[in-house]
Amino acid sequence: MDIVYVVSVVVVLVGMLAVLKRVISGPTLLDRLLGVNVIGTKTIVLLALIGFLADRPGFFLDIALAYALINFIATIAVLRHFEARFRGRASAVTEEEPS
Amino acid sequence: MSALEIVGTVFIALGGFVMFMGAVGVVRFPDFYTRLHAAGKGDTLGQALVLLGLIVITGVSNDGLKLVLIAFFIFILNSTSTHALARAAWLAGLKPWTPADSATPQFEGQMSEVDRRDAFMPLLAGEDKAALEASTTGIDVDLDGKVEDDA
Repeated sequence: MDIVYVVSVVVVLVGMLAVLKRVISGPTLLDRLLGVNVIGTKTIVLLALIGFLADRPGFFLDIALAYALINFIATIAVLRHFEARFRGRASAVTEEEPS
Repeated sequence: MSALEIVGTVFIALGGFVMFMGAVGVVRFPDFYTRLHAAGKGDTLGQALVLLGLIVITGVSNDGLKLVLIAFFIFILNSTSTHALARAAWLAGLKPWTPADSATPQFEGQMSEVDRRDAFMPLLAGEDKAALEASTTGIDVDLDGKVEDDA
């Protein structure tokens, strides 16, 4: 049964690495935000699988539940912060502002 | 392996496949809206299948209840954040991709240099934006009328 969890963990990790390429080289700022959101969702599944792999699912599932809510709040917060600045100005999405 | 474990394994494998295909779509699709499509649908369905497989293996218990809660929350929250991302992109004026924008000359013969450049720069210049706004006057994109321009 462990081999199922190990293979699933590896598949999810490869998917996260692929999406990380989009986060690093995304042409627009929204692409990066989308990639971060996808990686967060994959992290939740990864936490659940690692919990069953380590035979302590309850502990890891609590973390996964909290992480799901925090991931959503982070995405919405960043979007609310940038939305007024984005509105009607597509150039603001692409031009990386010096931070 | 019991029968339930076999069923759960099938669900986990299906979910892993769907999630991986969603990741491939995020990397390879041509513009932001198509990537959003791959990410939103692939990830939501994939995590639901993986967690459903774990639920089948676990059975009725505390952990099963937590898995149900996680799958339920992600179903709502992922859809909401996908909608918010698409709305932000549309309000910013990001132009949706069309086959005419494709940089690969397999749709209608060879592309001109201007088309090729526009395919790699999917954002609107001034006149294109005015044309898009004129063509979408039926849609009220200005939701509250308060446009803050700090330029």
